[in-house]
Amino acid sequence: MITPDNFNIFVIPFTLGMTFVIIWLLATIVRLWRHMPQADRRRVRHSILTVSTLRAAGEIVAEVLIHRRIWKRNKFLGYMHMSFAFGWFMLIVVGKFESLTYTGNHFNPIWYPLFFKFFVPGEHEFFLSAFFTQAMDLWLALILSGQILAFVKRRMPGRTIGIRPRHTAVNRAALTALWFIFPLRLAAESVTAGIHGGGGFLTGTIGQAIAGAPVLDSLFMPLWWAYSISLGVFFVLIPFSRYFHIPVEGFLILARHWGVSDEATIRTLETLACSACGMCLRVCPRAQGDAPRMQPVYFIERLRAGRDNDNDVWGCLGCLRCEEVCPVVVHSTQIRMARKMQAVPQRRPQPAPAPVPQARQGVDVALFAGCMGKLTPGTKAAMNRILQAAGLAYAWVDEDEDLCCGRPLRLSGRTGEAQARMDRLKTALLALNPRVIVSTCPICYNMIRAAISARPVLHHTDFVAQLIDEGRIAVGRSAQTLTYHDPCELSRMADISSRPVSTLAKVGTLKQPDECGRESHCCGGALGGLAVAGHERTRLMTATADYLQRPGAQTIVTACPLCKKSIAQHAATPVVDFAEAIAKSLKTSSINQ
Amino acid sequence: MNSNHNDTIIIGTGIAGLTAAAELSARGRKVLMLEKNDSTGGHVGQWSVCFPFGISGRELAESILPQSNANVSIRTRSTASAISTLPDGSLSVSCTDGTAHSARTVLLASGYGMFDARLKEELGYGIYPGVLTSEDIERQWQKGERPLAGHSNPRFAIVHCVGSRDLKCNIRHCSKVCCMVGVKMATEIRQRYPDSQVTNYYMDLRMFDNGYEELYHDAQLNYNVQFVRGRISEVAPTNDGRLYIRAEDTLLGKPLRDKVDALVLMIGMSAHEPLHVDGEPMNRSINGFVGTASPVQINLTATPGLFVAGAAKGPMNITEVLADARAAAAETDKYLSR
Ligand code: SF4
Ligand code: SF4
Ligand code: SF4
Repeated sequence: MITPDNFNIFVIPFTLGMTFVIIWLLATIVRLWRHMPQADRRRVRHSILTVSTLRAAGEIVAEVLIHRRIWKRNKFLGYMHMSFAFGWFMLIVVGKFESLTYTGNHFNPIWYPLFFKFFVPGEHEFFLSAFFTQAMDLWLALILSGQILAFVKRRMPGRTIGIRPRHTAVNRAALTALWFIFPLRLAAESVTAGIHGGGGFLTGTIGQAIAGAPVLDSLFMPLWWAYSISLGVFFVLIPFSRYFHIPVEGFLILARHWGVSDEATIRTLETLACSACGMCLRVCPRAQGDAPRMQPVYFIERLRAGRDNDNDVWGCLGCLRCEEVCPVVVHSTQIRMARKMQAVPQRRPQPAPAPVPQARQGVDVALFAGCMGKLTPGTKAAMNRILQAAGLAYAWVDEDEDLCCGRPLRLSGRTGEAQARMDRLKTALLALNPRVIVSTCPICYNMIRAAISARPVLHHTDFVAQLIDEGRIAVGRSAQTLTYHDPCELSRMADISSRPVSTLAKVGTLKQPDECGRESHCCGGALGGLAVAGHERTRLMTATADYLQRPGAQTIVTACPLCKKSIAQHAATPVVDFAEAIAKSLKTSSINQ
Repeated sequence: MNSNHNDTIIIGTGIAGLTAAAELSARGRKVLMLEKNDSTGGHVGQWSVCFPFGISGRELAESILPQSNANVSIRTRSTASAISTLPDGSLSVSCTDGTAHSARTVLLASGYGMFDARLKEELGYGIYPGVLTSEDIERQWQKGERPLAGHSNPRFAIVHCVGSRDLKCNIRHCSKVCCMVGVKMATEIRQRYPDSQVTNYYMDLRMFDNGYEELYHDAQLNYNVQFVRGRISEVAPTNDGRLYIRAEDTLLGKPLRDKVDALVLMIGMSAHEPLHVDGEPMNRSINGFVGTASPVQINLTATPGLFVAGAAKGPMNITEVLADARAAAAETDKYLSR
């Protein structure tokens, strides 16, 4: 029932805004549901009443409210995000219970808990009323503390915050509305307490301090109006701004836990769930120069507005540093991939007949160097020495045939043609009937392991480490110092980073830079980024080469032909492949075996 | 040791430095020459035959500056590391051995470096013994060595533009002389190994100076040298110790395979790291070589009294270096007469 006790005309802006955003959100979810394939819908229906929903709920609390992943990277940002999200959430929940306890009615109007202090000013005794009053002030204080921190930081951009993204107009408008909400709530409730008494440690104290001031009465209604309007404006802007991530991220987490596999659905949810936190901006190698911005935070913002440009789609190196730090785990490179596929005509040619090397069938190891591997014959020669030392029968499948894993085509959006190349490579590899397939290129390795399950597929760092562990080859340790550079495709994409390092530690002393492993820098040669200009590549490569030379090792070791080429071109320190470093340290006894 | 009695310090004793020293001493100027190596002559001094002069590089270098010259003193094994302007406007050159030398003018004739062919790993330099650079061959010939002596009917492939005009190496410039040197080397190989076969792989042939085009025709007509327009994409060893090469003939639009005994890489000229002048690295031109004060002041750098001559400014052939060094000497002399 709507009565003067629970309604005042000033609540209308908020109510309209809130209704609008709820309808918009429901419409979005229904649209996604409609476009989801049958199989995924079935999966969701079967998963709703299982433990996966509980797990999702746990993750929602950890990520959407507490922002655990942001905390891990950046305490300051974590606190800011948490104070808003958690504080606001608690205001809503506690406010709901407060009004419920007070009225004993489950169905209070939507605005009632929010403006409770307007409708029920002053001190009232009801169950737990003191607790509610203090708790509501506590959450408000939490939010305001985050806001003050953010404000101070804005005045003096320092180390903690690094590069800050520049947002579009609608985002800035939404942000302004958001910045007004809580100070206005504080003011409205304090003035109310000043007139009627009551209030907690924050609003009550301020209320007492200003009590009796003659202006209070004339401020009372305008402040409640302003509070409601700022809420209303903010809510109306939500669907068009980055703040849509607040409701959407929960759905994304649910969809992931329910096993939704449809790429388009996940991509849309991820696009909407990006909070524009800007963490990706700080790690993207392309953000350091003066090149036009294309980092996920900007790309996704433009994509939502339907205004992404060529640089957004073709300017990303695909180094995955951004995805590594993204608190929402937005797979921005996949989103870009989908845009590339829209830009390029899709065709699926028949694969050319694969070479069937009759004479060499039944080898232990089938090796694939790949097109990049042809640029680094030193690696191939080193692998030959290692395999001979291990006494294994091996064959390079692309010895006299040009074979391709298809990745370059894939990265230019031509997935069908890429698949045809991979089919041909797969036939050729399996025709050798090997016990194991080894690639010396992490890019090919990732492609092959995704395509072949009939045989173990290894990157040569893993394979060689295994040969050493099994005692098939023996290496000797020397006084040399080494710096190992983790290739993007190996560390971040294939999660292989500690084993190459521990293997290299058997032949020399490692001097690693601060950021290595999954945090390693990109060599600048990454295959993506067709729109990255030559001089920028040079800048990227030089920066990484410099970075890797900082620890001062005698040799830089890497495990990717592309990294090797990019770094060697710009470093004074010699650069070798992992296989070359191991082959050089083979014990002669093991070579003579 | 301070030797203030010099008018000019010339850094580098290649043909540019020698030419300028000869000019300046003829004008009565006292010259100190600093050379980082053990002997004078620079790159050219190590070449077996210089086109179109038909004499060895050593002879050419020695003919420029007569052995004993009262006005010129030469310090070998002196590597200049930095230049600074002194309060009286003269310049001081410090060397890595701790010495410093001053004079009113300095002429930079430090030339160029050779591209490190190991950076084009796909061509197999340093991995397969049959892969040589143009510099290796010139040196071996000059020492009287005969690579591939045991082979009958040796096949050679000569690769142009290695470390020049290659965006993958971040080098855009054309080294200018290697087309001519590559063709000259092809005819020379045919003379030295009469049963040999030689193929040159080029991007385009830049036979721009007097006699170059004639050399090219001569190579085809009289020496039966093959020319293929295209880059070699891959080199691999064969079981019989030769090299297997793959390329594309871009005129025919066809892939091409061959087996050769030796692959000769025409390595390009690369810029040295810039010297520091008054604490700052010197200005560089677009190709990374030493830059000059203005498009008209082709021998003066941004620092008063500091001049530059020859291939330190970018690739040049011998004739161009000789002319440029004389111009630089004339400019230096004019500056000293002020
Ligand atoms: S993509 Fe991820 S890291 Fe980048 S702004 Fe969005 S949420 Fe933040
Ligand atoms: S993948 Fe690399 S280059 Fe692309 S946006 Fe992310 S960090 Fe930047
Ligand atoms: S002179 Fe000829 S070989 Fe040398 S860089 Fe120029 S085009 Fe290439």
